[in-house]
Amino acid sequence: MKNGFRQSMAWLHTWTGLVVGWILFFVFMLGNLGRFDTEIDQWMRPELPIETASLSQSIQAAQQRLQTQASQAETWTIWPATNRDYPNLRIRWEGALNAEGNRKRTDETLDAATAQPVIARETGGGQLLYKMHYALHYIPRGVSDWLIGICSFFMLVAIVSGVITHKKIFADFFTFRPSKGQRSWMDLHVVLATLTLPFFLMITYSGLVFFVFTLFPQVLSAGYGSEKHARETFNNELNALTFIEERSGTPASLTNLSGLIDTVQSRWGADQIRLIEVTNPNDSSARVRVLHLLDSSSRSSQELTFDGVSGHLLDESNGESTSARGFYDHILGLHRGLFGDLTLRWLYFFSGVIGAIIIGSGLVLWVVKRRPKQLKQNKPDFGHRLVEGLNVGTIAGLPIAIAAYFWANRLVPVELTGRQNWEVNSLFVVWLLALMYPLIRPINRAWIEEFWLVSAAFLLLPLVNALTTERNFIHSIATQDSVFLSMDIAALITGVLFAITATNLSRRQQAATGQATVSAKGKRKDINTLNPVEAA
Amino acid sequence: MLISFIVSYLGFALLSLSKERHFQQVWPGRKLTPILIRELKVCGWLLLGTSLSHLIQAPKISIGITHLFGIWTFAALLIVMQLTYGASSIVGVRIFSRVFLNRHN
Repeated sequence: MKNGFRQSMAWLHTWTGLVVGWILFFVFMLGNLGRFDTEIDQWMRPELPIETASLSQSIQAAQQRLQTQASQAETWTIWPATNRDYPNLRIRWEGALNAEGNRKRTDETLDAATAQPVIARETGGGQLLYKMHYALHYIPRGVSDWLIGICSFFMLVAIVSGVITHKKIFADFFTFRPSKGQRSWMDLHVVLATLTLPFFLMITYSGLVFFVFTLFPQVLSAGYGSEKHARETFNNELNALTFIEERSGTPASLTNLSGLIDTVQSRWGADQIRLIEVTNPNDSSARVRVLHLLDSSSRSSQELTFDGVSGHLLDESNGESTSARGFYDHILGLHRGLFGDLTLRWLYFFSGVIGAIIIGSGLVLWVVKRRPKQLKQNKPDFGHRLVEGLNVGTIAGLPIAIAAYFWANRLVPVELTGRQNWEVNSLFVVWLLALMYPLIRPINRAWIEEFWLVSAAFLLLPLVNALTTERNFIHSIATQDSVFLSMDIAALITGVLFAITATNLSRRQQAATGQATVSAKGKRKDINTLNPVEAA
Repeated sequence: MLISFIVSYLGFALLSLSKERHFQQVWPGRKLTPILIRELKVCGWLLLGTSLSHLIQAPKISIGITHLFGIWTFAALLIVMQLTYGASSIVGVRIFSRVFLNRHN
């Protein structure tokens, strides 16, 4: 700890940022891909047909399937294709609460024409990528919630201390000075962080709010005790589902759900349904809730509640509630951004990319600052080498690993049982290899070579897709298949950008080694530019 | 949305020009007087204020605010990139020079 407030804050910023930087980079990268989780889902299950059935046909098919599979379930949920996040008809049924306080859930994607589940390869898809950004993988939720929660706290501390440390926010608001070594890295870090500060602060703070009941269990246990059911009791009260009743035990047949659509559409217009939830189906206490598409930054929206037996409309809610819950809903809704149109999603995506660059440049800065001193020693410190290696293995290595996940989706045989796990395993195995690679290569070569690998992996992805599915580039153009077309283009752009980065780095490295031999030793600031990454 | 983007972009351009360093990048050798600084700042802030009109046309105010933060971030980022890699490419520079420089020299 240093003397003086600003110095202390600088110290705090450096170290809070460093210790969790790599995990945060992972979180940002995968969270970002999650902005297009649905599109990635579609790409990763190329067998799925494009949904053409009408809304009432879909709902009928869903009801038929649920009736045969789960007539006695506690709840049914139906997501028709009008929901942007599920481009194919999806259903779920949940059983009664078991001894551990959980419910058994089953999910299916249906073909609306036949009311049978569609057959598509087993994959975690974009949803799993998205899920890993808050739940990691291989470890139980109880642990990961704490890990991510603590990392997010560090991040919030790093943001606040970073703002305090940065003296010239307004003077340097527009300033970026390239090709000046450490100065440029600092400019890059600072200018991006200043410009995206509203986003950065919002996403970190709202991310923390997701974990509020984990990080502050007292909030819940104060009013609801610490039993296993406490969370559910709390949620039910929070959601104030006043029309939902206990199961009566008297069987009664469920109304025809597609018959409710007219009432819904007369209020909301066509195709505005996000989901339909049925509680206690085939019981006299059955209730049907129909939820509107998200249309504000809140994660709740208008909803209609029907009597599940008679089909009468019981309640109409505008999705607003108490100010405390409204705040909570808006904060979480803002984080997810599901309400946004395509433009807003891209804005979120690019802001997130910038977030990853801020974290990455911060990690690189730590090395750049300490490098001159390290070079004077005979052997660099272990800590310094470790940070350098982790930087290469994460900043360049994680993109390779993500590409490996996509490759595995196409290359692991469709029939293989547990293939979903192999997809994930390939992501983490490749990442591990990328982390170890700097052990056997000089650090600046490792940067360049890993960047070339990212580039190659993404440039070849459209080719792999063309060889393993029928939905290749030409087919996508011919059928105006925007999802597949965009994935191909995005992969190519990513590949080209990383190729440019790699070329620039090797050019700088050649220039630096050239200079170093010409101007003997240490005459100019060559010592700084020996590492090409640092000279960018 | 496009209009708010253009308006905020022009606003940020003027605000950046009120800084000596960026003023020299765009108009090397010209003199940035205190009056000029004030004019650039006032006009810049006015334009940024105008971009708030997006809130009225957005379907809901919460969505409008979310848009607006995104618009501001990327409009300012574009200015930063242009200042760094070719300041003369900033849209509107010629008009700005007619409006702000000619009267003073």
